[in-house]
Amino acid sequence: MPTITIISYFGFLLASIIFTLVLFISLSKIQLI
Amino acid sequence: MIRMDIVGITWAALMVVFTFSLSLVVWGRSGL
Repeated sequence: MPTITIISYFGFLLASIIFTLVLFISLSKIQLI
Repeated sequence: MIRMDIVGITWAALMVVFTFSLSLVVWGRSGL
């Protein structure tokens, strides 16, 4: 039971970081920021 | 049990929202 919480935590964290990185790099590439 | 998994995943999502919001503040202020 705690295992799925820990795995999900790091999974969500990784997904959020990747999403934010992709978003900001893309916005920078099209010179929006 | 799928219902127990949903509770665990929801706790994980809540913890990520907390952690990530702190990270964004540190990033925006360029430091601790």
